[in-house]
Amino acid sequence: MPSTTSPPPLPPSFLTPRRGSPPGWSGEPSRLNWPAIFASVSLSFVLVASVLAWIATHPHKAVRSLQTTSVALVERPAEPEVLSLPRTPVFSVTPAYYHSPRQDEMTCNIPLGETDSPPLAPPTCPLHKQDVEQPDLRHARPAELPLARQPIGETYGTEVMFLNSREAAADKARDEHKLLFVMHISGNFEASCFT
Amino acid sequence: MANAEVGKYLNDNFVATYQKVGTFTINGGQKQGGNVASYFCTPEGRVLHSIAGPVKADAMLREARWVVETEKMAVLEGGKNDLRLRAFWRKAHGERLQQEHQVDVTKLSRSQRRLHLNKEGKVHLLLATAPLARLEQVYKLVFERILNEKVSTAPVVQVGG
Repeated sequence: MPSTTSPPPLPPSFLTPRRGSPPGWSGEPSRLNWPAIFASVSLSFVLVASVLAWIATHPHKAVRSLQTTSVALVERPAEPEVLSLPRTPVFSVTPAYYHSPRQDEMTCNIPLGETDSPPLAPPTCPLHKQDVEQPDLRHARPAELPLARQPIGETYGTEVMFLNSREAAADKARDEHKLLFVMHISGNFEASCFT
Repeated sequence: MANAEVGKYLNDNFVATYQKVGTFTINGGQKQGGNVASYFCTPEGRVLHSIAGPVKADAMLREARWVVETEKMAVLEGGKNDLRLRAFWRKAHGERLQQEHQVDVTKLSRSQRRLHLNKEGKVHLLLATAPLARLEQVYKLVFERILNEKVSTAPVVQVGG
């Protein structure tokens, strides 16, 4: 069942103004501490006045503009700040660079183009056999070979000259239009007691 | 080989070389085993003729002359034709086998191949069967089957003093 009920009446303390209420207060209860507000405002005025007085007494020290950190980072120059020297130095400084003689020698003697090395001095010590330039004897015929490279032959106590290499004997026979005589033996033909 | 005439003829017509293919044993100062085989070849190493075993100077000279003269005839008849040269040397060894050993190589049957030939006859028979064979193909047959020696790379063995 719907019922229409009226709100309960306010207590009498809400209707009477409190002590210390600002003027013009219509009688509603105030939740602000007005004495504290007045004290802080007056203190602020005193602070501002003192700052202005300090600025007036120190005209050369301008107050830096406040910038945020990010802006300062962006506007900072890439190169480190160079300390400015006094315009009139006390003494003159001349930079001196040290060049080592070895470096000068190397840089001055570098050839611009590739050149042949100077010829070597003749050797003072005897060279090994393989170091001495040898003529190409691969295609030389036996008759053209020098005496030292001729096939070595020996008679071994007979009247027949035997070459110790069958290949050399075949080459010589082919070259001299002769036939080949091959002896197959037991033992060592070089040692007469072993043949 | 110690004969001056043999030496001169061989030096004039051949280039000589030697090769160790066998070995022998010296027992108490006595030689045991060992032999020698001589081959007359072309410069390419194809065997024209062979002498199995040691022979006297006149035999060596006779065989050497026969090889030289027969080779001249072979070149005259066969030229550089390999088949003709083979046929010529087959006929040459066959004729000597016929004349000296009374064996006709063209009429040999399987049973007649078991002949009792001496070393010279066996050489002629071998080279009539395989004329102008390479030295590598026949040297083992000559050394082992005709001379009854063993092809060996072993050095000479000395036993006792």
